[in-house]
Amino acid sequence: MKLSAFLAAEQKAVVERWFEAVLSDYPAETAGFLRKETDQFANPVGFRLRTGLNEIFQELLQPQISEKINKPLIQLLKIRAVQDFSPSKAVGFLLLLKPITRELWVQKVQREIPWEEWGEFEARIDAVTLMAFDHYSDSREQLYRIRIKELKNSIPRIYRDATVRTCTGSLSER
Amino acid sequence: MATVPKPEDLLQVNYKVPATQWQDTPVSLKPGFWSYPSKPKSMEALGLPYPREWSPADEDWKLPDNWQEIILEGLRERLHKFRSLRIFMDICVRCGACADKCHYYIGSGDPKNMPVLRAELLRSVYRKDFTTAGKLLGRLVGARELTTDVIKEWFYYFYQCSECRRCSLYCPYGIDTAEITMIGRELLNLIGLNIDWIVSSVANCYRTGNHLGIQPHGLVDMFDFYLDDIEDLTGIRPEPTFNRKGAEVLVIVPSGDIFADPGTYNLMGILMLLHEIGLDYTWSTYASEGGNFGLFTSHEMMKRLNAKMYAEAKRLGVKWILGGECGHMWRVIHQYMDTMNGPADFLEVPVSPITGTRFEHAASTKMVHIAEFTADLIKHNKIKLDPSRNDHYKVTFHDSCNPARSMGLLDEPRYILKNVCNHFYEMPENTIRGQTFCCGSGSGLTADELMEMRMRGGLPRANAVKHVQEKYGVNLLSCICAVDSAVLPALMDYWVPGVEVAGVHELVGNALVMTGEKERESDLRGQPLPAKGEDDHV
Repeated sequence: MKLSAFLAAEQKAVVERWFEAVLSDYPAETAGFLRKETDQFANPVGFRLRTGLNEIFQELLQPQISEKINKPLIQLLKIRAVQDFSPSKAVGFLLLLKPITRELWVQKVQREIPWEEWGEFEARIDAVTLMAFDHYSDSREQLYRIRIKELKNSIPRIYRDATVRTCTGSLSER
Repeated sequence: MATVPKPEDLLQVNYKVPATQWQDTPVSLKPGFWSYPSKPKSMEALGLPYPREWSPADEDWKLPDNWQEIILEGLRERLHKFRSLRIFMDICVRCGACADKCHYYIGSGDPKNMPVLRAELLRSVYRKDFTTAGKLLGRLVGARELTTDVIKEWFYYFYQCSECRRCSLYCPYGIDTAEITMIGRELLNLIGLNIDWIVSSVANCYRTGNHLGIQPHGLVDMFDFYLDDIEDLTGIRPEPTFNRKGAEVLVIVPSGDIFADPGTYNLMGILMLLHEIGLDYTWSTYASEGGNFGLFTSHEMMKRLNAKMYAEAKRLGVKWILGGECGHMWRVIHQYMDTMNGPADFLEVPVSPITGTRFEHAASTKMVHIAEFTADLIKHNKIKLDPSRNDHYKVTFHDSCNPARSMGLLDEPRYILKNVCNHFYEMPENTIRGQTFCCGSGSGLTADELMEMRMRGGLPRANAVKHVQEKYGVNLLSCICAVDSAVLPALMDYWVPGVEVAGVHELVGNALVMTGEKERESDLRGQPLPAKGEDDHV
């Protein structure tokens, strides 16, 4: 697990570069705002992005991806599912980590750390990307479910109840 | 064999500034981010110009031939009529203080959702045709021609502003960007560009008195259902009257409380409270809507709809009006009514017959917010409350934009909540009171087809709710606005599952100990009441 130890030591710099790469998905003015505003309530997208990427990166360093990765993944994919992204762009931010870490590996530790470890690390990124796609799809489906629920609720409750009453023939069960 | 691009090629990082300036980048109209246009029949009912079938997705919006002339003439008229507009057009120094304060910008990252840039959509046209510098120097001073692309951009972005006025709070010059959106929409209306959620609601309200177009007998039927529920729950059946001449008070609530959950539980709470204190009041089946979507259409339409409440108060001969938990109704009352239809000299300065409190601040409009009225009752110990009946809730409060920023109603709802609930928690300071974040669906942007936009815009609010959910276990978001009550459940479903939404008076109804009531087994929603001393089961 030499690669994990190496990447853990480089975490701050790697995640910062990853964060910057993800910001390039946004217009220049917005990237500046997402980067600079540190208050989590004034800038929920930037805050969640920064903390989320850190949490995801930490999980990627483990030999086995655990359930813990779902929380930051869901938070980020919910945001990207309602922003102006195609599905591939919405989940693709995870793959942006590959060239950043690969460059480090080539530059600094190619000789010390066997390529198999690198392959395993990249395979984990691939797996998390697939998980992210599931979360993206869930979020989109949730949006449609919410739309349907809202449409149903637009019929006043008493009419819905009245229909149920008529259909069941029971006036007392509401 | 085709070459398959590598993932990193597909995700090529592009640090370059876009090739075109914002003025030259046409808007990309995407479904999910615009509302359906108005139905021609609703426009005809109101006498609005150029009713037609069209869609934002079409290339041709079927604009009238002389649409530019109509818009520019309309702008000229309004610059003359509204001195504030002229000032707002001229004094912005583009300092950017407002830029990152808009919930739509925070959630979407789209720079044209920055209030300053949204206003610039209109200012750029103003400069071109109404300023000497713009006429002479054009682009150099930020002026641009009014083209079809520009008008499409106006439609897209002026219907992506909820007129919440959070940005204006931070403007050192006090520019009210909501008023710029209002004028933008008013101009769009001149060439028949408006959205159905607003115009059909206005048409219904104009015709029958409420947004859903429910007629008097239907309205009374609805109340009967709620009275049945109250009787089942408490053993007491309030006996409200309708259109009763000579009552002391006319009560007007937003129709969301009458027709849509969870607002309906709020109405039950109000019916119970007014019965318990024995107020001499009546409902109107004609002024059966507090909401005023005219505010989102034009000043003239706002005035038309507001007038019906006062006409009905005059017809019934009441002394004053008690208004329910509504958002923009209160902006209209507090900021526009007095000079539009007021002063309401035929009414009396509101005095609570229960406590004797004289509501001086309503001396001209003669209309009191029910949160003020109820807080006053509690302050004078006029009602008996058992807050433990709300112990299954850990409550936070969302300051609805208009009551908070347009009338400063900040402490009354909190005072009520602290008296009717044992578990109340505030959200972080920069997300409440005057700085409150919008629900993301105000000013007619409530339609389901706009869901992605609503979820983006509601993210900052939901983010703060999530914080108190994780920190304190909050499971109920209370508010004092019917639009909030209608849209926040969807927002919570998406961002903060497990948090329900309720009006403040639903919680009052739960806690209210009514004279002669039977022992309550459930709350207004029919959920079992928490057993005494067991308040953490949720």
